[in-house]
Amino acid sequence: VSTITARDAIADVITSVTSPVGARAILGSLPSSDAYEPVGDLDLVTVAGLIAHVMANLKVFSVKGEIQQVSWRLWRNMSGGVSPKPCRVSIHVASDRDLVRAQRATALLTAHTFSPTEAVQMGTAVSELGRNIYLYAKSGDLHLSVGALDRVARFELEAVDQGPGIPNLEGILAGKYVSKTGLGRGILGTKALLDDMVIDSKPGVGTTIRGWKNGKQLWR
Amino acid sequence: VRALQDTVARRLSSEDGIDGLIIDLSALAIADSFAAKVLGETADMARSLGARTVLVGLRPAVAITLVDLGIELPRAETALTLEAALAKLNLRIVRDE
Repeated sequence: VSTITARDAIADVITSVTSPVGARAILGSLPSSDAYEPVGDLDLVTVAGLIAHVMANLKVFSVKGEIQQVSWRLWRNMSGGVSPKPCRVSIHVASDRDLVRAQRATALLTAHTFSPTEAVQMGTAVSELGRNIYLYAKSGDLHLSVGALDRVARFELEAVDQGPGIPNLEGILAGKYVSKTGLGRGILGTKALLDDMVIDSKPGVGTTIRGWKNGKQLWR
Repeated sequence: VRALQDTVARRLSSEDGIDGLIIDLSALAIADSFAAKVLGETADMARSLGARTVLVGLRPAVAITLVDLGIELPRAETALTLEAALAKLNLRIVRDE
């Protein structure tokens, strides 16, 4: 059983690329709650946060070699060759206020593994699907996660409700139909913000929408 | 955004001589189709009360996302900075010496 802590994994990389003083300063600045956890226990968003912290502080000191290589080495060391487990958040949606929580959760999940524009696109997709939930089904749930697939960050979202279902779904997906409230355009637009989106809707039973989007290559 | 709409309606209908409305969107981190719809309605309402609307400070990532969503803000003019927005309303900042 490996008991290498996040701090050990980070120390291993940065002592070889910066001065002893720099390495000590950066190790001392790590948030202690995460740094002493075994690397296998950390989820991807926590790992990404620690690495972003190290990379930002490394800029202050001189670094041997390419910055990108250092980042990849940190990812390799922190993951042990296996993708860190996904970070998951579920939010019950029944009002406007819950959408703001969902937007913030998306921003936190995607901060270090997606570009700022991608983060806004995903936050907007979450907001659109969340709004559909409380407008048409009164309440439901959003399940959000960020993990990695083949060393690429991957955001997944699932919107589940037990509402009336989406009428004329085929017409909407073919781009032929837009409801008075603009629902059709919203769904097609949301699909365009993601890499792909699948809708499963049954009249009177409910709707489940799953979407995903890939982000940065984390390491090679 | 609904609160913004109410405030604009109240001010425009209760005060005389307001002929321009500038909405600063620089703090808007995310704009979904609902937010865009309310902004469009606000501009329509302002126009019916005699004021032109200029949207200013829209973040690039938000602008890109609105285009992806297939949403335009056709009823409101946009400007990059407050100065540019004032120029569109034929106003400029005058500093007293």
